[in-house]
Amino acid sequence: MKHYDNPFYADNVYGHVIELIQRFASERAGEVHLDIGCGFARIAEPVRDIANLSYIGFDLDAQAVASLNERGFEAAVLDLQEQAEVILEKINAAVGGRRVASISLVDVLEHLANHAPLMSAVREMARKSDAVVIVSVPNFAHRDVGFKLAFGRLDIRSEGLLDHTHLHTFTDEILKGFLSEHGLYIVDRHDVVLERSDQFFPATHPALSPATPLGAVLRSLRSGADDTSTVNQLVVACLPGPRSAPRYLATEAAVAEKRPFLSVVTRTQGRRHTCLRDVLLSLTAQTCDDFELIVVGHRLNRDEQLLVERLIEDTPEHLRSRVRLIRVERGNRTAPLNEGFSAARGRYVAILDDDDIPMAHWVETFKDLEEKSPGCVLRAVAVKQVCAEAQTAFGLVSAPLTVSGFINEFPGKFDWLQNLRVNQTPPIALAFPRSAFEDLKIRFDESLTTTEDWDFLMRTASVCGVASSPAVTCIYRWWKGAESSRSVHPQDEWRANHQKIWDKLDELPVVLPAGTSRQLRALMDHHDHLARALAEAESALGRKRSIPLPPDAEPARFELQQLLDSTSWRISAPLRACSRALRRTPRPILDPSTMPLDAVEQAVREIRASTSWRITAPLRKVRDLVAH
Amino acid sequence: MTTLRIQSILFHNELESIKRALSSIRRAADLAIAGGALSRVEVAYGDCSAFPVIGEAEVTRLRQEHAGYFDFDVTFFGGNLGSAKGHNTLLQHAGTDSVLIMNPDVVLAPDALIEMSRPFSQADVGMVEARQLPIEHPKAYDPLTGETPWATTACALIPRRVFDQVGHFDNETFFLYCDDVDFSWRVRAAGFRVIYQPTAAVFHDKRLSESGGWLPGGAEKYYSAEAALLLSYKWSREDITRQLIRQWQDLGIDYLNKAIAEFKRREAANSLPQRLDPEHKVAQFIDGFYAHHRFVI
Repeated sequence: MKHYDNPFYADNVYGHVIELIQRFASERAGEVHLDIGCGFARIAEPVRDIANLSYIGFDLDAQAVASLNERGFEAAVLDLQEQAEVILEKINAAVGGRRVASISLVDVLEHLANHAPLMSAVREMARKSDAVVIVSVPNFAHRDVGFKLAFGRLDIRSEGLLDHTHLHTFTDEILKGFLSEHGLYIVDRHDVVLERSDQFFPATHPALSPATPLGAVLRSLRSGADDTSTVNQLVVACLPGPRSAPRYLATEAAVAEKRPFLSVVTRTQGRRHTCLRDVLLSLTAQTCDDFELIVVGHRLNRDEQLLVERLIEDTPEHLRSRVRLIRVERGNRTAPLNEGFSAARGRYVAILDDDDIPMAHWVETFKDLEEKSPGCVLRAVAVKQVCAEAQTAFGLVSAPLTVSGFINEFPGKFDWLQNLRVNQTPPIALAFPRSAFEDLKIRFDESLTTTEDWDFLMRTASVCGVASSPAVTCIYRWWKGAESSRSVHPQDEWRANHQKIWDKLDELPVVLPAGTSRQLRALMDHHDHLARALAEAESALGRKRSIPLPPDAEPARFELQQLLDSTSWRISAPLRACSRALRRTPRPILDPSTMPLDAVEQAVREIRASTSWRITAPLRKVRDLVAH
Repeated sequence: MTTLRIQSILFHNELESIKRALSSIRRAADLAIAGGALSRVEVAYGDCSAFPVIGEAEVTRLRQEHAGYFDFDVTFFGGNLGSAKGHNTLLQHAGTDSVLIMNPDVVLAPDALIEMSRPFSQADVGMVEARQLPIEHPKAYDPLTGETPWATTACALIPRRVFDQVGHFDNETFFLYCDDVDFSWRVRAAGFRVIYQPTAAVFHDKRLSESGGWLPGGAEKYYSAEAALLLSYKWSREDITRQLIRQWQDLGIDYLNKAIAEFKRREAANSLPQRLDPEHKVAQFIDGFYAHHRFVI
């Protein structure tokens, strides 16, 4: 095995290994540390001097072993590919009955063809002495590797993340599976983080550079998926436990598992008996039954929970067998969505709140869309209907009372630009690919108390795109006189959440759907046309004579009128018109004859301080020169 | 305790939708019997299709599947009798205390039968209608008493004694549509109340156009028009009948012309229905509807 002579630093892999040893072996001073595959053994001195343990190194290379001996350390030659019994015998011989506090495998595992004998021996040693096992391996999932690989480039080097002698690759998940397969379980970690690994080249590669849109998007998405995007070396502390099945078997099982097409997540607080019953009835009547239902009970008290359980129990068996109730006690209304999505097994997940109604072909329409556009967010059309509640003499509880026809205010197709300004799709009309939640870790923002669905939609739509069907498949109920999110959350709160989402969108690099360039060009052309038309109208208005003031009007009124009638002010009208158009502010009405005096005086000050007045100053100078 | 017959008229319905409905009936019947609202349930279908929607083997299988929950039978009529006559034909063999008239694709909520039974605690209730999802019927009802001018037989529960007193559906006049309006008004004319029960929910698969509008089929358009003329005539509002004829005859729309022609044919043959409610105490004709509507679809 090749040896790497890298010095010890507190912030490199050796420093992190020592830190982990100290965390677990701080009270085992005088015991032994085994460094397996030690190479140049740069941790030998720190183990002795910092961790206060007796160091024993093991390596196949006799020269490395001899070098350690010369430095005053115990060491032995050990072939890591031997049988487990042989490895154990040699280690035990070196340990000589002393108690082992810790064992390290620093950048060893990726070089071995067959791990089983060594790992068996290590686990046995760890079990015998309650020793902690510190393992470090390079992280193949560092973003520098993945970003270049996405464009067909894998740069094998003499050392580093893609060392030419590596026989195995590890990501965090692979390492966890590997360790548990050999009976070791991670209990702590101290990974080595490098913003720029040895794979960060060429620096101008568009996928690597943080300054490029591509680089920014990739970084943004990758950093959300897990915590290892900049981890250079995975450095973990493990303790022994039972051996698990090989990881690849779990992967095969997951691939082969029959999952439903859709998971329906229904939030409920258990307060609307009839509404939840309506939802369950509507799901019973679906033309496509390839779905499961997850009822998420949020902060249910005992009676409310019993009620929800009763309603589920009452459903016909063919639906009941596909329903799960999970309870969420934390957070605001957004938390149940994250819990529901986490529990979902379907390829897609839809939100069906307990006061909305899907039509019979709701699931079927989503499924048809998936067949045409797998991986996209799926969107159908909802119509709005105003409802109240009523309880007649023969009803033990209130029931929905429809009070309006169908209000068709949601467009038939998803428009990304329009949705930047305001949400145009109620959650019932959407189904999200579960992979966006599970693999990209796009989560509902639990700091939002309303419009959490819009925020989630925009972040998901940015990477998945949206496939739309114009079919009306659901009814979005707008409650009048009954409790709803609009009555519970005041308008200021809605506005604040709205602004927060805008702020988040402004900070995110986005991938625009095909056709957006054309839309943007058309918008800019339209804007320019409006700005010109407005400027012309302003200019025409500016040429009108103002109404004469009475002779006894205050001097300030005369002054304002003179300013408004001046050539400087009129000639600069188009500039002010453009500025107002960009800021979307209306034209102020300045009438010296009717405004309050203090407003007149303020207007005079503002005009004299304005850009329009300042930039036309040369014109007035010329006029004055000519006049004199 | 009450025995119940659920009867529906089939006309080329999809078998899967019928099976969904039967599964829901099974659950609703189970809960109603366990809760003491009913003692026995039977389901009777009359098939007006050109060929049987449910083959014999499937009928047997369904009968076995739901044995213990309800008795199940299908009568193949061998011809299209229409809704009113189809139901009347089935009613000849109905021996239960109550009859639930419903569309064959209607899916019952688990407690629908219990909730529909509730208003009959009062002896003057003659007919109870369930609330439909996803599209609720727009006609008004008293939010306190639940009283409504008429009940749609998409899903309506009627005691046997009411049929005995009022008679069956007027199949001589109505083929499809408005047979339920007519029946409801006769129930009310006999002194009973017609109740809308919002807590009794049923799902009736209705869909909207891409612009959110109602999507009537060809049969609905024609038979609704024909029924409008006959209903207004029967319930002593010939002024409305003649007004509709005047309005329609210049429009050049085929199904309206056909409806006018049928009315005139019956008029010429002296086979128009006997008139009822000469003092206009029961029937309502409001803006083209047979009750005030809370909203417009």
